[in-house]
Amino acid sequence: VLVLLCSLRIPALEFEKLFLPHLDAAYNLARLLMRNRQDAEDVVQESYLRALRAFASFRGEASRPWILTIVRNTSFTRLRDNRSRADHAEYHEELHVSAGHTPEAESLGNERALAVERCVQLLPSDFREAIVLREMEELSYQEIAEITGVPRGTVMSRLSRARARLAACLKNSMGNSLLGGRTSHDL
Amino acid sequence: MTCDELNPLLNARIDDEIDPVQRSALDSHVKTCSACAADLLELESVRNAIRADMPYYTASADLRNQVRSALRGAEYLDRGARRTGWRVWGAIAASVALCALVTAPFFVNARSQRQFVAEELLSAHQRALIGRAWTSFRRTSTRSSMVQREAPVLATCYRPSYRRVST
Repeated sequence: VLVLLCSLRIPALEFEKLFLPHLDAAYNLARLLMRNRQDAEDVVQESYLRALRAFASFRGEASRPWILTIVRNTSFTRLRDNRSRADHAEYHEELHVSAGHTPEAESLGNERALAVERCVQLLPSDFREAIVLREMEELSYQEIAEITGVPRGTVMSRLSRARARLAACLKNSMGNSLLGGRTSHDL
Repeated sequence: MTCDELNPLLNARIDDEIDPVQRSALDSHVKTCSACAADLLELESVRNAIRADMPYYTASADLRNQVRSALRGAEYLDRGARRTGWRVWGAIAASVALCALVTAPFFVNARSQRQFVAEELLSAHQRALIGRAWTSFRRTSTRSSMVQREAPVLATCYRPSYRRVST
């Protein structure tokens, strides 16, 4: 009877054990792609349900890129839906972003953090996801390429252009303090 | 090559995604090219700014609980509805197999023990018979032709029998 009960519960438990530890990573990615809390939470929940349904196709590869792929695809599907709806309602992304100084970021009380986040939020979503996956999740170019479904060279050029934009944006919002403060180590 | 063209490689350099040959070529170029050196410093400062100051959003306890309970609900309702059939049978088969596996050694042992006892009894019986036959043979006859005739028979009796005995 014990075996019977255990074998019935194993897939769910195994899934939770593998993927719940990545909930923060999933939420962070969704939060930065969707740009607001409610959408991000919806995306995360939907992604985990999708992941559970797709669990049979999981072959024991790295679990974090696997769940992040689903989060990323769910986010983009939802963004596309939102955009097609927003086109009718004359939705302005720029307005939305500048109005969206989040309580989370404000509570840090840190100007730098606000500026950095704002600059990241202003990036186009392709660039933003590359930056999040590279700088916050510290994934390799190959893993990012697999998650975003583009060649490795595209990941490299996206990161390059994203960082160029970030540099310009940060200089703009913080003056030269960015370059003044953090050039401690050389090659 | 201009510094703009090199920019993706500079990115690969700070991300450590560049092969050693390109890397040493790039490094020696950067040493002589002040524009590229400045670009590289800028890239590093951008990266450091993000790594140091970008807030990492964490899932709230509410979200965690919601996800967990949604997963459990989905596991039993959605997925369960389609697959309960083979999963239940699989579970039953697994438990039966496990029971069999656990109890099998007892059956096997018991059986071989019975067989062992039977064989012991039989060979004791054979030895007794042979002993009696031999002494009566020694008593009744000392002719060598008799020994030659009887010896193979005795040899077969002495050979311990491992064949299964039906008792």
